[in-house]
Amino acid sequence: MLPSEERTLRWLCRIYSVMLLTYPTAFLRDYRREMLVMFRTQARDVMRHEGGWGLLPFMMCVTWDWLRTTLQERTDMTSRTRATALAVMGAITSVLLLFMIVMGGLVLLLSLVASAVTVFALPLLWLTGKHRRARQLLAASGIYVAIYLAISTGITLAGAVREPNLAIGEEVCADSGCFAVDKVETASAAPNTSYTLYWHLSSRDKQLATHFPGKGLELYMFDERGRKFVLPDNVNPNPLDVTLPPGETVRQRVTFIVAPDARQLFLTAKYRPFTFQSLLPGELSLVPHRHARMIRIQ
Amino acid sequence: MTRPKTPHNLLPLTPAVFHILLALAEGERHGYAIMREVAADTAGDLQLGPGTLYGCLKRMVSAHLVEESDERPDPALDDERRRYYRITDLGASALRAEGERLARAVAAARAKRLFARNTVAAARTRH
Repeated sequence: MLPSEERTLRWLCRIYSVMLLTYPTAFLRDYRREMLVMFRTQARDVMRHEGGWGLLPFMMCVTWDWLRTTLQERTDMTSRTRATALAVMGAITSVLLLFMIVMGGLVLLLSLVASAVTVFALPLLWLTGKHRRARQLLAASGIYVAIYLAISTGITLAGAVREPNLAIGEEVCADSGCFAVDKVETASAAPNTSYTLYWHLSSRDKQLATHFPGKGLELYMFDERGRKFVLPDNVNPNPLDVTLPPGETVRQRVTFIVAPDARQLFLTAKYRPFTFQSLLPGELSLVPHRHARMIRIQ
Repeated sequence: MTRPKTPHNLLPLTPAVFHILLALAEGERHGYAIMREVAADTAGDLQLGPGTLYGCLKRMVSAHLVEESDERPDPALDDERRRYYRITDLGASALRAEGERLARAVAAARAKRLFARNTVAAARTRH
């Protein structure tokens, strides 16, 4: 076998050895070594007979086998282990739910710090031979992320159903300020129609200047068919990223180019993916959800 | 109340369990040899991945259908890390019972002329 093939084989075995961590500890104690030996022998045979490209379908089969049997072995736990796991997950969910609703930003910050620590600690634990600890840390992180995503999706979905649409002139308020569209002007921009929205953002704090958290907040319109109309490329992509002097109001305007056949139009805003705010509970959602608070423009 | 462990209580066996028992019927084998034997027996239709194979073996050991073997058939020729498995008496009985069950099913299907060979043979007889 060529040195490059040996290297590939070594890497595949490392990847498979990490994949094996998702199996229950008791199962791994009994079969991990043998599964690795079997994987290595199989991969070597595939490489000898079918070449490097043969490894691709082989790895797909192995991945499918891993996914299916991990779930099977996990659900095959004893009822006592399952009850304990359910109780722990229930407790984590309750505490997390409470904290997420009360102080979502802090929870997200702590979660990001914990994720960073996990990413650094995992290889360290593994390399220093503390495999059991590493597996426990990985499992705990996985459970935490799953619960975080589930709760955040739930909050998003629950919030989207409750909030009614707003009309022109009606204010929508956040902690740092209130936003409203005051006036709309339409003009022909053949073959489309341009909509100029005059809006204001007023401070709720009479003593201190506040910064409205508009960085990364995308303002866009959409119609009854779900078509999205974004701001043109040549304008400020973060129009709501403004500092509000105490007790004062900032007034600006934005223009959208809209398809001429749009009958109903709404204005809304959403944080762009992978911004800090987009990961907050109430913003992050695993399933497509209705648009956030909407202002009916037409 | 738990039912007494008889081969008939274990039927029908899953295809994976049946073929693993079949592979072990001729002698002790390690995991990879079982996997290859099963693939050969089924003309590649049943490919057991490491997760499926060892998951099945775990359940089969706890059901006393197979057991781990302490001896290596030929230690000089084999990797000492490999664990060998052998079929138990209960496993052999379950294999025979499942084989008979499948044979009865095939006979019933043949009687209803579901197989092409029977259909052709029947057509020839008629002509």
